[in-house]
Amino acid sequence: MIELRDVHKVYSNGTNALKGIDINIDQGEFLFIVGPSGAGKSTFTKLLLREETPSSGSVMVNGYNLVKMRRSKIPYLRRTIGVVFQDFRLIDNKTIYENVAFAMRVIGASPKNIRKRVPYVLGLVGLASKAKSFPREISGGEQQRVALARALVNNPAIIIADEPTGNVDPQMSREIMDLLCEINKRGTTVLVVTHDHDIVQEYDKRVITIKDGVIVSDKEGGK
Amino acid sequence: MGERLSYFLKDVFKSIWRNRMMALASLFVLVSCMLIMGTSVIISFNINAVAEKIENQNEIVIFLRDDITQAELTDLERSIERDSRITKSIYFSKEQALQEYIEQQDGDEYLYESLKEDNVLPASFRLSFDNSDGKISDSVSTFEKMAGVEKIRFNKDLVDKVDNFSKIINFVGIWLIIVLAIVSLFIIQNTIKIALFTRKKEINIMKYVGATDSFIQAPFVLEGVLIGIVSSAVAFGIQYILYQKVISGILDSFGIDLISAVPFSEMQLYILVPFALTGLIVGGIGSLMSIRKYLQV
Repeated sequence: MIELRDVHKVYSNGTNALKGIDINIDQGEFLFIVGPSGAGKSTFTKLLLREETPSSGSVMVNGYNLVKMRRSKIPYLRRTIGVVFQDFRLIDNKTIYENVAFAMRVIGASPKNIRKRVPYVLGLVGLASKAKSFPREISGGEQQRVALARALVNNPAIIIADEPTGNVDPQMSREIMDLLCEINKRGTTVLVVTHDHDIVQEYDKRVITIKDGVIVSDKEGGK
Repeated sequence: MGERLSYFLKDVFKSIWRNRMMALASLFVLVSCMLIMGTSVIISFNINAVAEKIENQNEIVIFLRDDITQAELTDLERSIERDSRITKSIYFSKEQALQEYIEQQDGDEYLYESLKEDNVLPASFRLSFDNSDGKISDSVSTFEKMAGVEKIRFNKDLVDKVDNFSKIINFVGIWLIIVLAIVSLFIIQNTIKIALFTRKKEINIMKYVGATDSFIQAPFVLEGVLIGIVSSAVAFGIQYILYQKVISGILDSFGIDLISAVPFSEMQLYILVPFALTGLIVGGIGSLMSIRKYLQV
């Protein structure tokens, strides 16, 4: 499902972000990518989304060869990946419902499907009652769940959560993590990118640690 | 499909409204550009009409000296008869010339009593040529050399002058249009850039959830094209009013048959089509140009 072989990434400014990464992630896995800032975590996620291409090596995601991929195919790759951003990136002048529906609308989903799918996903993240609210009217934790709902709504095979615990209090962190586990149980691969060791310790999952552009450990079970 | 389309159009109109000052500025510049374009079309149409009228007349007038002798007159008459390309020749005496002049001046005869007493108008031959584009100027130079000829009025001079004038007008017009088109392109580009900027977040999200480039571009291109089309409609309306009320009024006030205004209906296609094309191209290309930079995620 995700397969990186000897991936190197050198940016044009000379920064050597990744120095030979090998990763294999199977369908339905839940894993943490941890490491201090500047370790190469964000380069790694950018590679998966084909925002960046590797300087050398190969990247396969959901059956797409990201090195040989044509630019026009990128949107179709991204439809198989849901991203939850640390800063949520909700559209302020759209309601919660519209924010989630927007993600379906812009990939050309039919209005009928949107009307069916959006309430279902909002129910899944426990926000059915807030559908008509605007982002500024709800809490940070709720905003994050909206971001998660939006990532989920197009039924991606992979969810990438970027620092999901970074902007919310510990109580909220636990809620969002539990939600991600729940989603994972339904068969979606979940990748949590974080530098929060506490949260990693709490969950018994696979943890890949990146430091200075190389994988320093890859082990099952966070404890 | 209807629901999706209405969403799409709503987005476009919302964006234009949010950005209305810039949209209005683009509209204003585009309309100005088109008006200059249309005005030069109108001017060249009218100039060409005048030139054509003059050319069609294919006439020369030989003015005779007052002291022309009978022998010289006969000589001249024979030369005219010999010139095969002259289809019609009319002799106008001094008296006839005066009569015609008075008639042209609304015929208030007694105002011209003094003119009658001392008739300064020359006698003349009015010659018509066939239209076979022969060298009228050859005949002109022949007659010019003959005795008793005062002067020859020859329309070719006038035609050349009108032609030169219209060339200058066209030249200036084309450069004005090019410069203004570039300015409009720049303004449209900036308008769309601002529209893009206010929706930066939306575009970013669209890219991440996998919207295609054309899906992202479409509303912005439509916005540019819409501004262009509205501009061409506005410019066409203004041009019409301007022509009917102002330009044709001025031209008609000369009261000379030669300089009557060309009816707007004869020119409207040559005005509307360039307007619409300018609107479409400038609006479409302008917006595409600014989007291209933004879509490199």
